[in-house]
Amino acid sequence: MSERRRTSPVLMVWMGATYLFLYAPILVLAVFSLNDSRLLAVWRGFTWKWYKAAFSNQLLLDALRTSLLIAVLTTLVATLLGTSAALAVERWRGRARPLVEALFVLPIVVPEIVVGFASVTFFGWIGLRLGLGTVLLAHVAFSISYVFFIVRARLATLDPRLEEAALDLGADPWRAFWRITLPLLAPAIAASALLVFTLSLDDYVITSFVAGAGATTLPMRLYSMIKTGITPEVNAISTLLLVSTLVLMAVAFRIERRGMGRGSLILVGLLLCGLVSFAFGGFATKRGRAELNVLIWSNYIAPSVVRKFEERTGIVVNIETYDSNEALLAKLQAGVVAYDLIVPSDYMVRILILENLLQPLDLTRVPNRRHLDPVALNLPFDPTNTYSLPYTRGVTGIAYRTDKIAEPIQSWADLWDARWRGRIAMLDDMREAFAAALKLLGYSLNSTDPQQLRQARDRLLAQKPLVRAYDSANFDQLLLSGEVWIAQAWDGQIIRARRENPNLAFVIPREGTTLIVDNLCIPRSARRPDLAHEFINYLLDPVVAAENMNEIMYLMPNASARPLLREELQRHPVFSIPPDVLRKSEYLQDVGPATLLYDRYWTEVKIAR
Amino acid sequence: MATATSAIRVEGVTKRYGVVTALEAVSLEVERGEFLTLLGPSGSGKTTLLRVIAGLERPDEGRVYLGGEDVTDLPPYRRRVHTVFQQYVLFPHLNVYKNVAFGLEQKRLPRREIERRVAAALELVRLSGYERRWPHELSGGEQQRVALARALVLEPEALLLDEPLAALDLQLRKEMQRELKRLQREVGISFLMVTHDQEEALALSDRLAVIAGGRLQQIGTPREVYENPETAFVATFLGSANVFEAEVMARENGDALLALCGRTVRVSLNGRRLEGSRAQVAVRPEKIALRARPLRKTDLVQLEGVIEERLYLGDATHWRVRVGDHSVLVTEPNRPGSRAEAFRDGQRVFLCWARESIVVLSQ
Repeated sequence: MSERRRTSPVLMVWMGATYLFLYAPILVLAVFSLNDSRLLAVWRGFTWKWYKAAFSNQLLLDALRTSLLIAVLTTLVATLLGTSAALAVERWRGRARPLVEALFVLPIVVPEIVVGFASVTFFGWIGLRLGLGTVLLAHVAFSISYVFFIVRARLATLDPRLEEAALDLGADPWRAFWRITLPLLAPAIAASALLVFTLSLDDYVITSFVAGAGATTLPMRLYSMIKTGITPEVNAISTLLLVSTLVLMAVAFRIERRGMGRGSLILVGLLLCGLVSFAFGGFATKRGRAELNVLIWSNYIAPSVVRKFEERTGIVVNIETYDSNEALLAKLQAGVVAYDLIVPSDYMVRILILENLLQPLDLTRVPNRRHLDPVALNLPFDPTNTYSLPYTRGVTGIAYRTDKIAEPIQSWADLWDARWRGRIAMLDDMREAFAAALKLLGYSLNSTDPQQLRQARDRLLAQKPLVRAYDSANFDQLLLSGEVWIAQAWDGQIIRARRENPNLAFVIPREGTTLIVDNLCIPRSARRPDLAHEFINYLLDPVVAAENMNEIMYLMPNASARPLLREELQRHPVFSIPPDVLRKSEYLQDVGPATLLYDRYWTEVKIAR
Repeated sequence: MATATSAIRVEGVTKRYGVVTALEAVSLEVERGEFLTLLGPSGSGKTTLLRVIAGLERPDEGRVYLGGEDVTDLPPYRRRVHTVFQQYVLFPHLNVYKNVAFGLEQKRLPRREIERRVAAALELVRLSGYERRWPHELSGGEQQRVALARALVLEPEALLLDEPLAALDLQLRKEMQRELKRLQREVGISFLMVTHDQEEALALSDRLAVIAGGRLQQIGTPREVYENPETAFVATFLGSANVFEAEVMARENGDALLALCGRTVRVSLNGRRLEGSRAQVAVRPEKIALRARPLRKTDLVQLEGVIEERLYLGDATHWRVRVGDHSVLVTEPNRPGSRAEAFRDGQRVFLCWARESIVVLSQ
């Protein structure tokens, strides 16, 4: 018996540490998807409820379906094309062969963001409307290369005489290919197909550029949910995605190593059947009905409200989500999307009007506008409400833990209080951060005066050593976990978080603050403005608006709906802003060329030590 | 077509790859039931010729006939010849049974017929019971037999074998040589085998064809080619030979009078034409005897030389003897009490051989 060399314990520890580094975050994610708390950081017991929630969230399911449909189709098309290309190049003895091979590397090495931007530009140029088709095209385009290289690698190890032997034994070229070459390539083809499937399922960057109406994929949906706060639902669906990806990769690996056994074949077959039936299941019912495409922030409309509209009118409402006003602008500017209704924030409405991307509303078709609170009408970005009607209103303020901070908080200055050093969070948002500093200094939060902006920058620099985090997505989580005691915050997420911990307060600083209105607008490129008007009118109905608000927990300026609101919303801080504070508050406006100054100063703040 | 048709007939086949000529005007016939070997160094074009016959390459000029039928324009899968490839090229994803049945399935024969013939073929190559094995589980020799069965099961007009034994180790190679010969006799079809191993060629062939530089050098029975090589290349490639330059003194009655290393020798031309005043002759090293003293007998050729080198090879000893400008190779079997053992380097010796051992080569 030969003596086995023992692995050094140092090496074992090192290896363990490496795996921990790789997998600890994923493990935490999976564990917390089973946590009986909205909080990501505190364990409160085991539950399946987030999985149940995820599976009753129609938007998530639709996104999952879209993702799977695209992944299945991408896999089929890319595998076919990539394999054919590999075979063609393998047999081609031309002088340009190395060049052709190099061209297949490009889609892999070119940054995804470049591919995404190039794709959307190209689709715009050839006049293709963004939708499921363009996502499919883009996915196929980047997937072919992977198939090409995996199949090429296998082909290179394949004895070309095997096919000759088949010909020699009486098989014509077609039969030789089917009986000999294809079965020998099958493991590589299957492995590359599975790889392509997971790549397509996971892709975010390229997809976010080329996705249009009816094509919000799961990663896009998850990413856009960040704007309104991450819930353990996301953990649940991510865990499922992760597990299925792992299973697929394991199967791919097995096939690559051991060849296509009967077991793998049955497994892959079952997976495929399941996927296809699920992916196509949702589409059959929607055939042939009028469709309304809505592009909106995630968690910004109650699924029950949408469902009732669909039932009442027979119209299919496709809800797509996005994660920033700038992303919305980019999509509309590219001129390749066909959305009928969008929900831009105040300052973006102004920009969209100036860019001539919106169409005037036909107010006679929106009689329910009479329920709107005048406070949210005739605002500076659209003084006559020609292009927009308010959907939600909100406010930036300060949220804090009353159990950690005893004295009442009432000023932006409290975010500069050295006693809370390391317990302060600011929004990771250039305009909001400057708004706090400018208001503290007594200036307009839309200031374009370089002198004032410099002072604001100095304030932010002075504050930086005290700040624990700049975070626009998870400030509610930071407060709930106690990692942060006081934070610049938006109202909606804090109102929700209060359900978890009543020791959470939201106040509007006396110096005045940012007022926010998100608006219902119809793009100039809308295909069904008639349905969009009908839907706007429906959303402004007091009963509908109340149901909507009670679910999403954002406030709408709907005066008639107020009596129907749940208690948390009745006590919304927006209702109790003192008149003098309201006078000092402003809507964000486009600051024009001063944006460059904001950018430079914000960068200075962010990189300061 | 009146004459008995040969299994394979190649007429004036030329094959070029760019500027390289792989085959130049090669003509060759393989009789029915004959074992013919193509012998040549690597790069001589022998494998190309095999591929042209199989249909895997198209000749630039010339025709290929199988059983009298012109198949030059037929694809490989329409030709009734099958190939045993170098390293066998078994289908790795098919088991032994499926490998052997592959060609029969292409003919869409009934399943029972296929089963019967596969069983018979496996029995022929002594692999009955190996049906469910996979190629990677087999030894080199067993893979070789599967490759043979796979081709033979189709009862081809002729079997083409490309260096079939090259991948086997020496012991197995000898065994498989006998096996190949047995198989060929049993099935009675023509074998055309490519090899660069001269011993293999001599042992197996009914006839052998020496090929070099894309040209056919000589074709004949092993004895004919060995004993009476036509060119210096054949003489030295098939076995070894001492090639001497000689001056032609006179010609009479199919004989020639040559001046060889200062001696005048009468040799038979064996029907070969001899032009000009100079000639090349070859003498096989084993036909030369070493003597310490000259013999009195006059019909032997005798040359005086000095021993340069001795190489003991177990079954024989190789000597290098300096005779004038030539370094002559002499091999003697090692028999007990062989006098040659006594010779030392630098010793003066006499080389003797019979006049019949001299072969006049064509220029």
